[in-house]
Amino acid sequence: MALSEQMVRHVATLARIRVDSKDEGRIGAELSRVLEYMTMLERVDTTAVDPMWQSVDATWDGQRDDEVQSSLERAQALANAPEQRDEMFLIPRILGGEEG
Amino acid sequence: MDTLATSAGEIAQSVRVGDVSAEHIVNVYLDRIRRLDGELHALLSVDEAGARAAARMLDSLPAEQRTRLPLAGVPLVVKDNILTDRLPTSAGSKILAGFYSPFQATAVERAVAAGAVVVAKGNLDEFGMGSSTEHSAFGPTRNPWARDRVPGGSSGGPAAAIAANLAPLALGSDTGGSIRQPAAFCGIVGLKPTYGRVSRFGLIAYASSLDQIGPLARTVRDAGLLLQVISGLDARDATSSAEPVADYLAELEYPLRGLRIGVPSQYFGAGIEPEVRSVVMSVLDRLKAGGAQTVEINLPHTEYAIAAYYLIAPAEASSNLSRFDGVRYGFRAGASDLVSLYQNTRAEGFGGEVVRRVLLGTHALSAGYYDQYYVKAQKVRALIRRDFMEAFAEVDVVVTPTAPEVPFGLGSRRDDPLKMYQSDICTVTANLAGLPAVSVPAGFVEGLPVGLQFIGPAYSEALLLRAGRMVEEVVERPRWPLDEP
Repeated sequence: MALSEQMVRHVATLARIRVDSKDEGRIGAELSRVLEYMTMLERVDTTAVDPMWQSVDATWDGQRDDEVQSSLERAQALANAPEQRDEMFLIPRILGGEEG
Repeated sequence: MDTLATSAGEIAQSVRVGDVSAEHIVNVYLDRIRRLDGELHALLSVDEAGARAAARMLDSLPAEQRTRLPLAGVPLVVKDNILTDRLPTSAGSKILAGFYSPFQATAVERAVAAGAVVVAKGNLDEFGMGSSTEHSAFGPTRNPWARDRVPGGSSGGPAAAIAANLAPLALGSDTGGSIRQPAAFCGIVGLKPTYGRVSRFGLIAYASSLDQIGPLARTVRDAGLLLQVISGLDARDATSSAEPVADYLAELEYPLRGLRIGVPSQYFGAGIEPEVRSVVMSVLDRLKAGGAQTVEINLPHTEYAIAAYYLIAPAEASSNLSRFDGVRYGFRAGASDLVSLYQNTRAEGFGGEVVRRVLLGTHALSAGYYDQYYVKAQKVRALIRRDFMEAFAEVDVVVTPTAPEVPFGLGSRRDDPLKMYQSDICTVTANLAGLPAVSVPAGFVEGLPVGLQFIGPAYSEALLLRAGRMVEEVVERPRWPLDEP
């Protein structure tokens, strides 16, 4: 199924990626070609087949005792932040500012 | 001792008994990196001072401690989507340029605790998304066997580094063939363990139900040596397995007789270059002459593997890569409000292939398409796994070419994503089914390496290594491309 420019805009909004309007047609065409290939899956009879979400054979339950363990120091966690202030990650204002 | 002609196992042995210092070993390899990597661009960062300091520390250990280190003094290249504490980790992406992790991946930690010395980080397709290493934001890697061709991908940097002997061992990651296909293209050994065999803690997630860390090396034995050290349960990865780890090196010593090798027609027909097929068939003939049996088998859902894989992997990627938003780490683009900050950061920070896959995955998961694409792909995945389970009732391992072709030319596929995706046809099935698989050198077509892949049942790594060793014994090893005469 072909992906229209409007659908590319919708998917880009969901994915939080800015797509320039001049690229929407090209991206739509590329993804349409890939999705066209995927339609071969419709030929496979999957009635009574459960989806396989994971390939793990659970050999343990993945849980540990509920004990406090050390984690990253605050300074380490902030060390790679593009902007920080007062031991917090800094982002543009989201409440009470001028129109964005 | 000629350090450069020596295997990882022999280097570690020499360092353990004090015949040679770890510092000498590290210096020999650092010198080689300085001379050769300018042209190859297998490496994204090199830590000369840190590697020397680590080597000196090993040399200063009391002898009885050093003798317990299976990787004593062995230089290690780590793919740059695996976190290291001294070197930066970029995942080949502009969005993580200059990122220094505050912690180290479990696999790296275990290798270092075993005496390995991390010398450098290896180039890759951005976030592991690619089959050529051309999708690295920092430029492509060249294949040491033919500098105008790709080394494969996404672990193309680590694979090229091993082929050029910039280090004896490397850690890669494999989501759809990213260890095995570059191993084949670079004429080396690469192993993707069973899903859960090696902790993924500290591996930058691409597709979490498919990703595994594994070894790249020049020989099967060296791959087993590294696998031994990194395998096993890790409380920091809930998908890691408590299954006991076999003694791979001990098992390698037992000869393998009467191995039943399944030959699936789906991996030897259309889409496989005839010259590649004949190289693999010729190795099979030699294995048969040595007592192995080949059995024709049927894996009927193989033809759907690429379609299922390129829905599941992008879907998981679209979720995993949502963490790169310009807030906590990495690149941030200018913006006046929060949503624009996310959108601009991701548009400017991600390369074209990553954007393509995130959009594809987002679409596959979105309302109205989820059942048609994502759920359908997961059901086909179950059938692909079932095919293998049925085959393993009859045979011990399944054999395929690792890649359908020899290394292709740099730039020849960049603008054809679907063609690039189809180069993963022989490798994605093991990831979809969660099975271990190894690629070993099988020979050459006009000087270009060809790999042979064995896929085995879950936790059959010891068997795969032994089967790989059999191939090593019947394949003549030519001189390495950049070794001194």
